[in-house]
Amino acid sequence: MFDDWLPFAIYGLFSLVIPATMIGASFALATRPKRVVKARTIPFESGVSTGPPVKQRFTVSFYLTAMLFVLFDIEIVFLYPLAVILHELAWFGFLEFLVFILILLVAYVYIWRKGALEWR
Amino acid sequence: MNTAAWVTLLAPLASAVAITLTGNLLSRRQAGFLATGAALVAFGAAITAFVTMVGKDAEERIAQTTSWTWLSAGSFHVNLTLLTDQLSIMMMLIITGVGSLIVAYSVGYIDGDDEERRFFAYMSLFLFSMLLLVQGGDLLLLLAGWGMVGLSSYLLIGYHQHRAAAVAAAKKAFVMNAFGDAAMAMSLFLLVQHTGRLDYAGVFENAPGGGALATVIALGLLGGALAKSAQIPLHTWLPDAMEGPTPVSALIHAATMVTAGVYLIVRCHPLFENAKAVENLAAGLGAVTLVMAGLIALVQTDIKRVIAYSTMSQIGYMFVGAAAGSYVNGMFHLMTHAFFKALLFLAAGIIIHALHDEQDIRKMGGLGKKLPHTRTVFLIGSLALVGVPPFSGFFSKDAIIASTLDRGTFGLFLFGACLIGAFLTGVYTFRLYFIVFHGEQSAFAKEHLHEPHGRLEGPLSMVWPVTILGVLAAVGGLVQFAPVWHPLTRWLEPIAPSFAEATNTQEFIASAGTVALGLLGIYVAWTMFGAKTRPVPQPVAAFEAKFWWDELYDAIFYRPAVAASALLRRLVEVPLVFGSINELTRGFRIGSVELARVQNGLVRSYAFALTTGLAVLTVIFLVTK
Amino acid sequence: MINKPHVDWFALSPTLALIGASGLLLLVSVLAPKRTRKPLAATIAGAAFLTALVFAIALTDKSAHGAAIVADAIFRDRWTGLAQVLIAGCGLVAVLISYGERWREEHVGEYYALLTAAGAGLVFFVSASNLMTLFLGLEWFSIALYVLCAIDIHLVGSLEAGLKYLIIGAIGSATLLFGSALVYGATGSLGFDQIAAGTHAHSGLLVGGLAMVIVGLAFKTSAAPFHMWTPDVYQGAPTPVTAFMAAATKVGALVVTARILVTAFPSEQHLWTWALAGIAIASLVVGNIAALAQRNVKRLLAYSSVSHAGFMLFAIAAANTLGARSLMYYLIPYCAMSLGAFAVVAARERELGAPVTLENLAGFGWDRPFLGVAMWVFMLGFLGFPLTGGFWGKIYVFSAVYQHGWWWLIVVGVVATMVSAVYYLAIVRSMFLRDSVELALAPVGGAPSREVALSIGVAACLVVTVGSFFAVQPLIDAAHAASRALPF
Repeated sequence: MFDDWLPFAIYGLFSLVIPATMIGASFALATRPKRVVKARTIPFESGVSTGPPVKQRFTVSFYLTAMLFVLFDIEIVFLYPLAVILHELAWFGFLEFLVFILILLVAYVYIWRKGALEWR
Repeated sequence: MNTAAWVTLLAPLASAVAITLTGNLLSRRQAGFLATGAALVAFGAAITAFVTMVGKDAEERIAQTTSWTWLSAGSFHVNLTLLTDQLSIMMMLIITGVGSLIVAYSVGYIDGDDEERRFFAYMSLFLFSMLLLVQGGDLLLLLAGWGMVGLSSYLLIGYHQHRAAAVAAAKKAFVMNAFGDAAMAMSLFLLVQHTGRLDYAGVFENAPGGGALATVIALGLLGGALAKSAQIPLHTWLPDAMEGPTPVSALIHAATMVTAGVYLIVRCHPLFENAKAVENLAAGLGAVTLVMAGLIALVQTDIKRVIAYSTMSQIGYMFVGAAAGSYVNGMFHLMTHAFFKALLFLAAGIIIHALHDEQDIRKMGGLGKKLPHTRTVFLIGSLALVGVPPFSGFFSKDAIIASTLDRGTFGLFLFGACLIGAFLTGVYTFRLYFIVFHGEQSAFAKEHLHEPHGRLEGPLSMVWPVTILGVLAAVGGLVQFAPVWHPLTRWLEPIAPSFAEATNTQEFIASAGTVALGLLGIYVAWTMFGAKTRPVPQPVAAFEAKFWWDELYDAIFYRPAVAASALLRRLVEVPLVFGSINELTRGFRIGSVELARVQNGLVRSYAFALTTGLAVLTVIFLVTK
Repeated sequence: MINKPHVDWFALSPTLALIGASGLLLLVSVLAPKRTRKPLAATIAGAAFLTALVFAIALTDKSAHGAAIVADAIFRDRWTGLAQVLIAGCGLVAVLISYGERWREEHVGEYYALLTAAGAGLVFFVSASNLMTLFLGLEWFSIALYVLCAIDIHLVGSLEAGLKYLIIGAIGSATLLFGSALVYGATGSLGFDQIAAGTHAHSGLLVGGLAMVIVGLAFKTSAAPFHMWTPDVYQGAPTPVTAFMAAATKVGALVVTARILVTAFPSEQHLWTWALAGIAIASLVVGNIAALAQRNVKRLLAYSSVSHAGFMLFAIAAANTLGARSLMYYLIPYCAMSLGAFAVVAARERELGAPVTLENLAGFGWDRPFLGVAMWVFMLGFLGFPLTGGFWGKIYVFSAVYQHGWWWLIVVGVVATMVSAVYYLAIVRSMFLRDSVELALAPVGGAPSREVALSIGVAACLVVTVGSFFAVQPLIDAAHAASRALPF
């Protein structure tokens, strides 16, 4: 009986402890000066100050290009393990490789003709 | 041969569907021709099937074709099976032959009606249903056909939907037939449950051979037969059904549908033979009906109602024949009756047409001179109906009456009833004939006799079918003359071997008695209505009131039902049902609203529902595993 | 040395045909001239689904003996084959319905590319034989459907539908994945057959994982209480997409649910039969009651699809071969009826240029008799009326449940059917009992030209709905052959 519940108990414990530690630690370790200044009450996000709004903004093209880069980058990473064992896989591996490249190529033609690579 | 059987069945259906689907694309007249053509095609196919069958040995004549198995579970199969055997082919020939003549007649009769197309679609549908009834190879198709002829009869009786009487009559016919259908369906279900089969052969083989179950099954079948064939006590719808157009009366309420009960008894004779009491009950009811209907017919004043009561009376003869064990003679009379009764109805239709839709015979008189052709065929039909040799009715009716003598004491009762009926038939038939055709033209006739289609007796499409039927009514009985030749008996023997066979002496006694009484009846009618040498007696109140059947049903079914439903409404429906329905709908509405509140469109609450469900399920699994 | 798996290309052919077409369509959407894009893309998509259909039929025919193939990644048997036939058929009809939709030109090629991709994913999903391929297939068609729901960004609610579906769908997928992980943890194997063969029955991890797998799949089936996304998404998504989702996704999810429960978790049968019965009852209650209050027809049909999920889960809960057979049979008319019903809604929507409600459906039956009568038949079919396949579907499901000894479930089912008559007949009533003229519901810009493609699609659905009533024997035989692939 206990055996069955043990994994869940451990899982539940972890899911409670981790957020609790985070919240608790931030309370325990925080050094709060007594004086309340306006800058201290605004939200705090990973070291980046949220306020006053930045005038300069990134264009959408930046995010698009970045996203496409990440996508194709990850896909190309798959070629490394394939390259390592290509000799063992021989023609089978080569054909699979070609199919993979073909799919990437279709996607590439698509984004290219769609104009996603042009900087606007 | 099987192809021919399929063509027979499907041609009328195709016509009904085509007329329905094409709608206004088809002119009203074209619809009529289409329906007639389809009926003729069916008739041609039926003849083909018949000729093929004649060419075969008696043992090979029964042909079952399964076009398609719908469901099969173990030994239980639901098939679309056509059964073509000697009995069904005889019915097919009668239905399509007489049917095509009547549909052709309708082209002229119904001409000018706004809803002609609808009429012909219904007629085709009826022919299909009737053929399905007789051609179906198992109980399910029999029941389907049985129900569908009820439906198409309902549609056709109520064809003049603007006339309240027609609608009421249609409803009455439907309710009475529904009662019969329910009784029959019950016994079919009992049979299927008991035998686990649907096909006739299998069912008859495994049916209970006696005892209470066999009796109940036969009773249920008898209930269906009584309702369809308008026999006492389920007969009151037929006279009212005369509200339908005259060709409908000829086709459905004389030639085909009302004889379905006789067909059922013959088809299912093994089941009736297993329950002798029910068989005798059927014969007894037939005998009572034939006398009672004859008496009522004496005093009717509506030309179609006289013929309707005569139909009831003649079907009474068929019941006597079929249920007393003389299946062949029952079927024989069914055939000749189809000829002469359709003839009488169609001739009556010509008269009604010529007189501006007047049906009251008291206003008619002396029409013979103006309508000589109609008079001749009507006379032939009347003589055939009374059973005067050599007209067709003589051969078939006398054979039935003779065969009752083979049934001992009970047979004597039937015999007596049949002889009384023969006398009554002579009186009421010729009362009608003399009143309508004999003597001087009545004032009403002089005023209203007109020429609806340039010819007083209607267009050729009406005259020809009547003439053909006249010939058939005159000579159709020569098919079989029991003492001398009997091809019909040999033909039907393999399907329904009769167990009541009259000897030649009995035939002679029966014939002599019947013909003498029939002629006596005609003489009585002549003295009262032809020569008018004797005064017409005062009509008996019981006859005029049709023996109070309608009042009886009113008193024991209708009024208690109305009272009970009023009581139920007051005590149960208003406080309980209405109340609870209100509560129920209120409950559902609240439920709906509450659910709509949960369904608030917020993704987080959807996710919450999902994870809650997951948590509940997981915990239950872990606890109960 | 690496073991190269033997690849059964024939078994993969329906998937390959569709995914190949998807790539081709992506190229068409950027390379073909603008004017030819729409007809070309629709033709390619239709041809792809047709090819997949033919392949799937051949595959069903030639897979009498089921086996796990391609390194035990997928099953090749008739259960898979018949489901693939259904999905490909649904896709074909969906293409016909889609053709007349007023797609924005720059998205029409992508629409068909995504539709074929979703079809490919579903076809692959139903063949899954281990937890990995199961999840792969699930994500494959889900992601395509997320985008499809949001593809018409000018349609009110389309974007919202896509986003909601994405977020909730992600939770559903995560649940399935978590469950798979727990099952793997408990048994140490991924393949369905191996999981069943494992000796770790009744361990807490296994049943916990089972619960999560059930929830993840019930989410895709849109069974209550995991159905909450269904009304919003069905209502918001473009109608042809809704039609495809309602039919094909349900086929995929139900077929896979039956497969994984029967194949991988036979030892936990006592748990999942009850779980599915509970979920099914909840679906019937929620679906039917909520449908009563709906005025929007798409939303109403969404709730109807929830209640139908309940009916079909009955068949799986029965856990017998009759249940599997009835599930496969019921799916055939069900797909036809829901595709057809949504197609009719799409036709009215295009005519009015507004969402279809019970009010503005008035008189449609008289204006468009064919579509009106077809809708009537579909509603009667949902209701389980004789002369439609829905009748036999319900009868078979009930008899499967009866065989399992749960007569009380039949009572629930019959009551639910009676309640559902109210809203199904409400649709018929509003179509036929009122005249559009007196309500002055003039179509925008005059009546649009009659769509041949949509009418063909509706006619096909009509033929299947009615035909499955008459041709019940061959279909039930096919379903029987398919159910033999499951180890009961």
